[in-house]
Amino acid sequence: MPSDRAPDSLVSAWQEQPTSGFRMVPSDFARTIRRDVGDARWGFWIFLVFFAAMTVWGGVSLLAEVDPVRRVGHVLWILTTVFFAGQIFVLRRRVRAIRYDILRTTSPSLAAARAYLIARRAFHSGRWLWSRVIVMFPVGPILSYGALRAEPDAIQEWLWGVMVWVALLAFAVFIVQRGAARAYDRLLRELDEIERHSPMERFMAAHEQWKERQGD
Amino acid sequence: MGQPVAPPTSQSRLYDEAVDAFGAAIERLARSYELDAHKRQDLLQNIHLNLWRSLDRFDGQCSLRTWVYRVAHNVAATHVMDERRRRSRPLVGLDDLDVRDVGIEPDADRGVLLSRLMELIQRLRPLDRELVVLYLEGLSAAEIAEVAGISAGNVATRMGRVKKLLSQYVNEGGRNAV
Repeated sequence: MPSDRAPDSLVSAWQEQPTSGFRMVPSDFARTIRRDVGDARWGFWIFLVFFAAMTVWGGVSLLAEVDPVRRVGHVLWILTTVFFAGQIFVLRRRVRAIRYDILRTTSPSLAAARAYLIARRAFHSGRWLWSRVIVMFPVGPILSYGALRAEPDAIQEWLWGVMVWVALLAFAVFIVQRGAARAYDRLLRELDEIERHSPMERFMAAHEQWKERQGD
Repeated sequence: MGQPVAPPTSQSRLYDEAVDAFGAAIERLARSYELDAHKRQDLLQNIHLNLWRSLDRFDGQCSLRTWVYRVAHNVAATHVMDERRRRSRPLVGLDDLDVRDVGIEPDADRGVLLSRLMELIQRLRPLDRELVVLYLEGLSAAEIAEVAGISAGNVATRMGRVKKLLSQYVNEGGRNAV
């Protein structure tokens, strides 16, 4: 029958692993910070160029367009890309602030893990996602209506297209939202499981509650 | 005549003190959280950077050891959270780990023992991993409780599982365990 003590050989093998003696000096810290900031800026420039290109494309299309309904569609497209880029910029700042707090935190690991998960879950919560995606809904229908309204026979197809467009967007948001909520809830349940008191502490807590009830 | 050397700040002094005492433990911890050498080096740098940053707020409310382990585990756990999205193999809890998957022969040499142990630890969720690593580092249940933020009774219960797991892992060569 095996002992429930971890073998000393394992503990000594663990503690006697060769290590490199790694340490950093102030210039290393400065270089690492500069590198991280540089990487972050590079990613941010790609993001900005992408949205700028989308906005310019909308602007060029607007100038070239003669149909008034489609012009409205192009204006909405430009507003959507600008609004979306702005929201992503705000989200990026919030996430960076949270990550920075978590990485520097010296609170006990369990509390830090919980704060991290709750913050991440909040970003995927219903209201946040819907309010940011909803601006995309009218763009497709308006642009396509502008093209099709001269052809009465095509209106039926247009209506179907609008329904499919709305359904696809709603489905995508629903899937993202549900998947994220489930993943974070599962992780939070794992934390709850770890935080759960030992049997003796649970008994003491129940006893305290019983005493309070007796006192009422 | 050379430039006068500025005296080290208390933050830098504390960092040197922390690395002198716990630098090797931080390396072992990084090894237990990341097997890939390149990513591990990045993780190690990240832990040191965040440790150095955090030490300007060290107020002595807890021991330097507790402080170092908290920062190191929080950075490493964040690393695991980021990496797990790219992993195909799910992480499991202490109760769900089957040591037969990573078992070793009883007469295996130390190198094999360590590499299999790392494999086993890598499959655990961050908080269970933290308990195993701190246990192997020789911390008491009370010290582990202080680092992890759970009650000593809870740590004791979970440590029983850790000890049993490690015992099965070595004593039974992983073949008949669980």
